[in-house]
Amino acid sequence: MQFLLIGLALGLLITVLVQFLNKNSIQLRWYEWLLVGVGVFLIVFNIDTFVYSRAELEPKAANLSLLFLGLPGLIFVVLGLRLAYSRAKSRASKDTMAA
Amino acid sequence: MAGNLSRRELLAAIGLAGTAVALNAGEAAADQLDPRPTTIDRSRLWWVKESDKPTTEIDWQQMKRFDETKTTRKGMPLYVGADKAKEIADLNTRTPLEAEQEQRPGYTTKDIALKEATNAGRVPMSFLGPNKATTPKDRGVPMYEGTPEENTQIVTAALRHMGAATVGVVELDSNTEKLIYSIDSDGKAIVFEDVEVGSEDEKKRVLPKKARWVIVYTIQMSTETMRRSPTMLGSQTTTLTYTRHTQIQAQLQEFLRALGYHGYGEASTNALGIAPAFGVLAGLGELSRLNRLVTPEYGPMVRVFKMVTDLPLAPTKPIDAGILEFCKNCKKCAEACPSKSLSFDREPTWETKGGWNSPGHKAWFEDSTSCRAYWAAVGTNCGICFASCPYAKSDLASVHTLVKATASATPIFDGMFRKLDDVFYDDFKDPEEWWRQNLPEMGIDTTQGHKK
Repeated sequence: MQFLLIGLALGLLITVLVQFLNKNSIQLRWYEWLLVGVGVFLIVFNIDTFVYSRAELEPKAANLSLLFLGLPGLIFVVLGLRLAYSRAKSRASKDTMAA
Repeated sequence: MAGNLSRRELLAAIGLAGTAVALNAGEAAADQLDPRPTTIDRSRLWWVKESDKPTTEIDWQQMKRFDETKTTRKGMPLYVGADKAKEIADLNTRTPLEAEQEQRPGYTTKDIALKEATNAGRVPMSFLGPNKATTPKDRGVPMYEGTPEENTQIVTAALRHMGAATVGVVELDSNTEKLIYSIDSDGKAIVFEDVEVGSEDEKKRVLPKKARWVIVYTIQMSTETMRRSPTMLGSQTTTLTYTRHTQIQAQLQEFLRALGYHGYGEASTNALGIAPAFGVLAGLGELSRLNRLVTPEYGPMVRVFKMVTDLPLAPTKPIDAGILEFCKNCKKCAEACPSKSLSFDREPTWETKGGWNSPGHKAWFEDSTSCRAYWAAVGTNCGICFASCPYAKSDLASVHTLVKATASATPIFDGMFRKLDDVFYDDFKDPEEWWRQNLPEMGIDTTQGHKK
């Protein structure tokens, strides 16, 4: 059940993200998509590891997974989006100056 | 947010959400609609490869049938002398009593009581079986006949229903017959004769030559409980498993009898033949550094049993799941062993450590005398090596499948996986905490390793 909910949440988040990118005319380059994709995968994998490690009575593994999977996942997503956002902002500034 | 969505974006959101729902529902539906295989279900784990030869190298020319009384179960005096053997046996009796006096964790009165309890209710084990079930002849119907594949499937289904975890079959030939003990645990000879039905007297057990098939099966132990090794609490999962075996063996013998066939079982614990060897050849696991079977599903957290039968069966192939290869780099059990009884050699060897080992195959042979002596020092059958094995894991978190599947495909990450196992998992846990964990029945997950 929880993975159905995660799937729904992911679908919603992706929609919001795409909407945001389109609204702000931000295009992601392939490596930025890769960073975001890997980051999302790591976060989802971490949710699986955290939830089921606790079910396996392994709280140490669950908690450490946040550090080894969740945190890098978050960093990758933020990095991918940040790179794209910075580039878009820089282009917007140049356009303004040119005008 | 909803107010800012265009029609296109709204439709995209609904589409994505619908995809998520459909994928989940589709998977559930697929499980419902997908008919159970009618052939032998050997695809229990997708990353386990079947192989024509086991990963253990065997020299059948060198191998001979083994005398079980030469193992350290009964044969300790042969190797350490009668006086030392008695000293070890006395220590084994004294240790738990002293530990209970001190109420050491894992040896408290409730832990000892549980050990006593799990030893109770054993069904008498016998070579020939209870022989109480009605036969097809008694019921006025023809004896059951199916193809060997169908027979293996129904035996597997029946055994799983009775409480076994995984099931395989080895066909007896001039080579594999050597895995049947020449002398059984109680000193009786086991012989093959050209007879219709097996028999037993004070001196020997007779296996009919027509009984060509060995049903090999595992019964799961509780990994969570074994994490309390080497205490009495930890060890009683072994006891419980052996107790369950007595019932499952009797039921299997009666099942075969009621089909119109015969099942020749173990007359006592660890009798009849070399269990890990049969387990390897039946494809239930691979031989490991702890010189026992390590299974893909449960690691070493199983006990292995066998029964010879004249019901024609389709043999099951050995497997290669990267387990033996993993053991070359891992060495965790050897490092954890307090008596240093396990081998630290990188590669398995042909050289045995003592008369308790059966030569003729490459293995990480152990010093069974120092191992047994340590059992006496802790008053139990230890289990530290089992508990420390990285393969001894549940299968709920996907990471275990990822690690095991990767190890099955390539050994290049084995060292890293071993180190991560050290970091992420505590091999040994507090015995007192066990009593508050609300573990499932018998401390095991009976869906583990099978389709859920």
